[in-house]
Amino acid sequence: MIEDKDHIDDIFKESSEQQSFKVPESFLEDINNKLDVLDKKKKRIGRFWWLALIPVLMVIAYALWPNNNQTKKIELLTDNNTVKSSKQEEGLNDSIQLKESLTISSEDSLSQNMIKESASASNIVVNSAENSKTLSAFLQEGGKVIGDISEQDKPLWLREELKKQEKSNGLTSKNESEIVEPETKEEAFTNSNLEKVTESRISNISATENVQNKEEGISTIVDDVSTNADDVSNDVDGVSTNSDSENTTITERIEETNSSQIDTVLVRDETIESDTIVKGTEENVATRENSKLNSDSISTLPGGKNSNERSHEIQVFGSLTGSYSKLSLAGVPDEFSMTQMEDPLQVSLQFGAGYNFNFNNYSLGTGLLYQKTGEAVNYETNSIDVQDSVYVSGFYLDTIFNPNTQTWDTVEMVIYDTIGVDVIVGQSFIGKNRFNWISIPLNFGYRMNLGNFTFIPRVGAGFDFGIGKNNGIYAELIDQGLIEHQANRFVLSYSLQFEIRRNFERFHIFVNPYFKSNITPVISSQVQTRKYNSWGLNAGIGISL
Amino acid sequence: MEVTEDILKEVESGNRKLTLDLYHYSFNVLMSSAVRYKNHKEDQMEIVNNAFMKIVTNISSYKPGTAYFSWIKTIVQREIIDDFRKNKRYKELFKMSDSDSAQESVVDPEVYESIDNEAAVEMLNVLPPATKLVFNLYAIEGYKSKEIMEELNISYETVKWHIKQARKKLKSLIVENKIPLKL
Repeated sequence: MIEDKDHIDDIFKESSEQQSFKVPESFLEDINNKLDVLDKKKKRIGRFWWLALIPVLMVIAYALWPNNNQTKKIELLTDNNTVKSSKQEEGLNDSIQLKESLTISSEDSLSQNMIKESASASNIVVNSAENSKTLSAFLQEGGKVIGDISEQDKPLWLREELKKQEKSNGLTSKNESEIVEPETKEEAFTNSNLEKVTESRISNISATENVQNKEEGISTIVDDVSTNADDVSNDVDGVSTNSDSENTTITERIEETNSSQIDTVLVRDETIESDTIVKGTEENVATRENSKLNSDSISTLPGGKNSNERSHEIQVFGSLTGSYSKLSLAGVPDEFSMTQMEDPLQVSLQFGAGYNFNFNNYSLGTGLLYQKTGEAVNYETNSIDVQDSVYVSGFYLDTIFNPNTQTWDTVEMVIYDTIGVDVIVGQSFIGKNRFNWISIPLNFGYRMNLGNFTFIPRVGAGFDFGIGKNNGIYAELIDQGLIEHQANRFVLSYSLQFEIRRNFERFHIFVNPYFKSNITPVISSQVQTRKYNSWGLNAGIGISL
Repeated sequence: MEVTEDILKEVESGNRKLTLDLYHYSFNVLMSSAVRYKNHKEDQMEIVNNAFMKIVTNISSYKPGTAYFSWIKTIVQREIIDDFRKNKRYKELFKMSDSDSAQESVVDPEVYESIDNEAAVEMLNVLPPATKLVFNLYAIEGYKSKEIMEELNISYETVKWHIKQARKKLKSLIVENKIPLKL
């Protein structure tokens, strides 16, 4: 019996092996069409693959970008009445080279006087578009002008000046000078001597100083310093001389050695409360244009940041994101039976890390993002109510209501009766189709500062790479059962964002409402093309590098 | 035609001529499977061409030097099973019923050495779809009962029943001499 069974099997197996077929034309035509579709698909992917390299190239470009902003900052650091020097003042005249930088920060009148003397000796020109005032005159008016500035924000030297003015009606200069308390060991001179020297220096100032008093008040004390190599030497001489006479130690801090510029800028929150930074240059000092300096060389921006500075920051963020599908049908919409969906908006977790490169007010960003999209589907056994109709014949009765068995006339009327019919399906699926993505976003934004807050609207592209199985089950056509489709491995998206951040020195926190939409389809079959939209509110923290 | 690494690369890069050459080369294997499961030419074409598209898109997973025909045979079998499972009522087709059970043959079929190819296909086409599928997988493709059970998600008894039914029916067809047989 067993042999008999095997023999039957063998007969058919052998017969199947002997077959040979000729390829029909219709087969060739069909396979050519299918190969055309495949080629188009490949080309479509080939058109966009290089976009994925953009974020990588950006990082490389940044790493290799030469830093042309090497400037020497000469900070004349002063603390109250002290001008510090890392070198002995005797050596300053000879040792300070043009390529060195010197920083002077002043907080009191003496420092201001010394700066003015330096400016005078080196033909430093302080420009103003509207008014020309001497620095001393400005200091005299300072109390009035800066009345709107909060006490806390005023620099120490300015506060001292205000105090002096308050007491100016009855106090002598000697008493005024006593207000200023020496804070450093280098202060070897007495307060009375200091005041005398200060007054004498003020009277001897011959430099032209143009103070730019802008509409919003005094946002900039000194806009520009133009000088040349000789002037710098003179400047140093002057400082040295003054220091000699005042028994003051000058501290010179050389921050960078390859500077090509000498600038004077206001530091410490840019304006009145700023210290003064002098940058030296060998070549450009004499040729620097006032107009340029007015706008560029001296920072007058709120926040104390130069408008053309670059910065880098990294962020981590996460959110709950809602996604829903955009479905379009190809060719056979009438036969389509798969739209029975529930709860189309799927909520899932997304998280990621980002890197932003900021220049001027623009921001370029990239990063890595994990995201899910998908939808809930309900392909279950359907119960359908249908109506059946019955045609009946009517009979007339005679006048005495005797039944007349003979049909006098036939009236057919439709009677509807509702019956339930269960449509049995062999397969059913109630669940969620979920697709997992690792996305590389590439964003471009514009930064708008408002106090401690920054608003950054962004547009961007997303390069989404499918991870895991990424299969979805769908019922596409009537009576064709369920079909499992694998999502495309690469999907291109676009996104719109509006980041709102609160800045805390180096750190910031932010919320970022966003909308993201697929450009290329996630599921593409002969019947359906499925893309996804997602939106949410990212929240996270960032740090400036 | 030997499926070499160069040919694979050309096919992968979209060389249409070589792809069509590969199609002709593979056609016999693909079609011989398709005709055993599908009666209509359009259905056979769908099976053959869909299977070939899977071959082309997954050509990189084929290792040159290994049995190419075995590889594409596996693909076409998977395509056939998937196609069968697309029918949401396919499980109903496996319901066991004695109503159409054939009588035991009274003639020993061993007297026949072989059957004409076309006759074999015609005989197989007489079988109900589910029985035909199970018998093809078992007797011709060499699947084990357990594998068929797992692939089609049906019970072991159902598989056995369909194999038995197929044999009965085929024997009866031979006995009734409805199909020209070669001695």
